Amino acid sequence: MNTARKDTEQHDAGRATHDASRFVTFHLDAEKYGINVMQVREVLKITEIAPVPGAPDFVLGIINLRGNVVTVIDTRKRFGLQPRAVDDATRIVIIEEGDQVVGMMVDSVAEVMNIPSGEIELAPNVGNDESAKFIQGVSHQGEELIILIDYARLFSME
Amino acid sequence: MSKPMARTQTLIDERQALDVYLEALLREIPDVIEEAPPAPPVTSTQTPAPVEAPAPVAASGPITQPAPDAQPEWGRQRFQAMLFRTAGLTLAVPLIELSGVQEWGAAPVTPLPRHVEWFLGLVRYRGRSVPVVDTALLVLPRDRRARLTGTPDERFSRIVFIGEGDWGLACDDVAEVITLEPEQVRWRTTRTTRAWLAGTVIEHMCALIDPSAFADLLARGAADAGLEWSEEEGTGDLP
Repeated sequence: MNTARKDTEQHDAGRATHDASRFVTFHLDAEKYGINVMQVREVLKITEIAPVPGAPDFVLGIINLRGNVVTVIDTRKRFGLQPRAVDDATRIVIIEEGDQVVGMMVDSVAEVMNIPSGEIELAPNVGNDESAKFIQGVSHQGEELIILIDYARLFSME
Repeated sequence: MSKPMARTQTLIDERQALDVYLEALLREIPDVIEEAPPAPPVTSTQTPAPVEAPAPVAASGPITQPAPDAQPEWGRQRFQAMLFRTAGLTLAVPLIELSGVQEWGAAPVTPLPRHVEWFLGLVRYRGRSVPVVDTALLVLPRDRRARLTGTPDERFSRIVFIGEGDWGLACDDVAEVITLEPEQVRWRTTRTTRAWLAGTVIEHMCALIDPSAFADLLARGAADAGLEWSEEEGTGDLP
């Protein structure tokens, strides 16, 4: 019995050390954000975006992605940041959420990072601001703080 | 005839306005406390000093919501407090509830998107991500907040960490450490509003913070918890 328990503990310990997720990180202003790599289908260079009349103001429009229509959102506007001109570093991160595919326009894409779950802190609940609930957590990597996004909540925000 | 008076009131200069503001802050403390003798040594935290403490509470009727003690435990004997300034207002924080002070810029303060404006972001402090708040935006009356200008880098020079380092209060600068006797503080008797304000110290023209109550209010969200000055409270006595 003791051996069995020891085995289980060892197994759990092993899982804890390897329990890491990979995140695609991107920049908006000086801040670095992360989104789980499992939800990122691809990253595109900026392309022509056709505006959609009557869409919410944070929706930039639609793009044609190999025959599929994908909505592109202005992530800066969604996050309440000041507008910024598109440049060579601007990217569209294509996210798959359930059966929905959405593109997030970001300032630039940085890298793919391995972040152990033990290094993810809960984001503080400050000011009871519902609109900030799409922040899944934060993680310090070196000198940087990575803000991890809950993509499902990001898309479901009113 | 009333025109010149109105002009004088609106054109009051900044320093004068601050004095009036602090005066207003001091005036709200009931005078009865001023006459009270120094608090005798208290052995029990459940029963306040028999002379002055229970009377105002009883007079104001039953308190339905838990309010902080009128005179916190740390204020019942001589204590040390550190003075710091924000937007011209001097605040005092008891050393016993002070975790530390860090230079603004020693570690980056990372803003989180779509948060309330008084939340400046997270800073790395003692191995944790600690929320930092704009103290002035939280404690100043609404009309004075509008006059705050400049970026955080321009406005702040220090972060004061309270409690176990759970919250950081951004401030303009940190001044000296003072030693206070309980009778030097005009303790507030009831703290159903602005529970963060434990009392005022006339000698130093400063407001004494109750860090535990401040942290508690921040955790609950300032707007919901009544941390902010309401129009009536904050500006009623100002010219």
